[in-house]
Amino acid sequence: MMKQFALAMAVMAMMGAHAQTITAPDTVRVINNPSQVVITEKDGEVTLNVMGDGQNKDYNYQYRIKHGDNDLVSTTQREGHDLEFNFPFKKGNDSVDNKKPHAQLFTSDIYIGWGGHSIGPGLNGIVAGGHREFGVLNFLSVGYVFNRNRTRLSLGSGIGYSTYSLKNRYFWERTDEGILGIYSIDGVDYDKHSATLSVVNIQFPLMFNQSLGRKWDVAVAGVMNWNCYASVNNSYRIDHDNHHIGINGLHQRKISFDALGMISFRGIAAYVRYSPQSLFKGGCGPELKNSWTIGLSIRGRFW
Amino acid sequence: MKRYIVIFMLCAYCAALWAQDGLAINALFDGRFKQSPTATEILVDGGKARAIGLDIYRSLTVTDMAQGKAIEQNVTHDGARAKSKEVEYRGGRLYYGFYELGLVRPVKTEKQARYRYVFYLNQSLANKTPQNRVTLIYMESKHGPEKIKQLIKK
Repeated sequence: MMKQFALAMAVMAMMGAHAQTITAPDTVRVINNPSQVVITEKDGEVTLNVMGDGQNKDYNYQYRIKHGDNDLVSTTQREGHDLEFNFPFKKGNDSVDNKKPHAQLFTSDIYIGWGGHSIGPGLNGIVAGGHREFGVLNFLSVGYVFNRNRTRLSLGSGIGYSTYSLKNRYFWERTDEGILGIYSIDGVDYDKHSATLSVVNIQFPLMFNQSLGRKWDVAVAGVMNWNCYASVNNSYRIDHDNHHIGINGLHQRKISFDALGMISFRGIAAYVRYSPQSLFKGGCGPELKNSWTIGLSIRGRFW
Repeated sequence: MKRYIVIFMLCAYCAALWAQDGLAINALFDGRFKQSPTATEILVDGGKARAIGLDIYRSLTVTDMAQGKAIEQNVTHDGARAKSKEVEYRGGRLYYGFYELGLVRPVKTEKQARYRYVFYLNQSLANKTPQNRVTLIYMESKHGPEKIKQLIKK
């Protein structure tokens, strides 16, 4: 009885092993450390020649496959190109690397804004007109992202262009002392006229940006402006002829400071800028402030 | 007594065969890697999967090469019975594999057919920038292999 049982167990074990070999990989031959492998193909016949196997240099093995007219054969020849997968479902949008603190170089915040401005005591409301600005706040900036919540502190450089227009019937003028002033053109019958002060500045924003979820961002910044160029332009038309009078070399304040706050949704931001300083220092021109500007900005990294 | 032993042996043999209908890689998605810091598992079905033409999408990426070896063994086990396969070996190890495993279940019409596919990639065997990462992707879809390859292969 026991003998029969032991024999049965042995047979079962062999069958189990046999079951395993049925599903073993379809290996034809394993040759370790071949000296040379030559593959030839001719007239639908592929021949594989293996010479030497690491232990016996005279070893020779040949494997031949011939395909007939009705065979459907697909062969792939690989030269060792590395592959990569595209994952249609990734855990989060960020790669693992972006979750760690890291530095980044970026261009961001193309803006356009509008505001009013005030000019000097006594003239406010009489000549103060519109203010427009546009530029790139972070043309080239470096930031440090602290954590996976994308808290970022950045310092950068940008470029901006601002215009200040006078309303009612006033033009810009430069006095003999070189000071920019304003004079009335009442009594002169122009078909059309405008008076605009233009300023080009290089901006240096120190910005703190915080992501709120995946779609919202808020940012605050202190901006130092280098007002590197300013000019005024008086334009008027008489009898269908256009005339322009430009004045350069204004003594604008070279360095001014603004505060800026921004909130964005999916990369489109609304911002508010506060500019408490006059564009001209005392004695160099009118007290011209554009205090509050609101505008829109396109955020995101552009490269 | 002899009769009972023979019947018992036959039943055991049949049970062994029946067990092989299931895939070895199914065991890898049983939750064993849920808490592992070296593994990332993604399981998607329903509307999100159907949006890209899949019924089921399962991926497992490990950075522990011991876990990667276990994945390789399961993949080659299932791959031996694949309807068709595209494989690449490097240094005797499986570097890349794409396997068509056939129908999920027998169907009456072609419209009802759902096919099973497996992708495997061992990036530690890459030539240019090897990294300790083994990826297994299992999918069920009504689409053919070419469409599935477009989805995954870069």
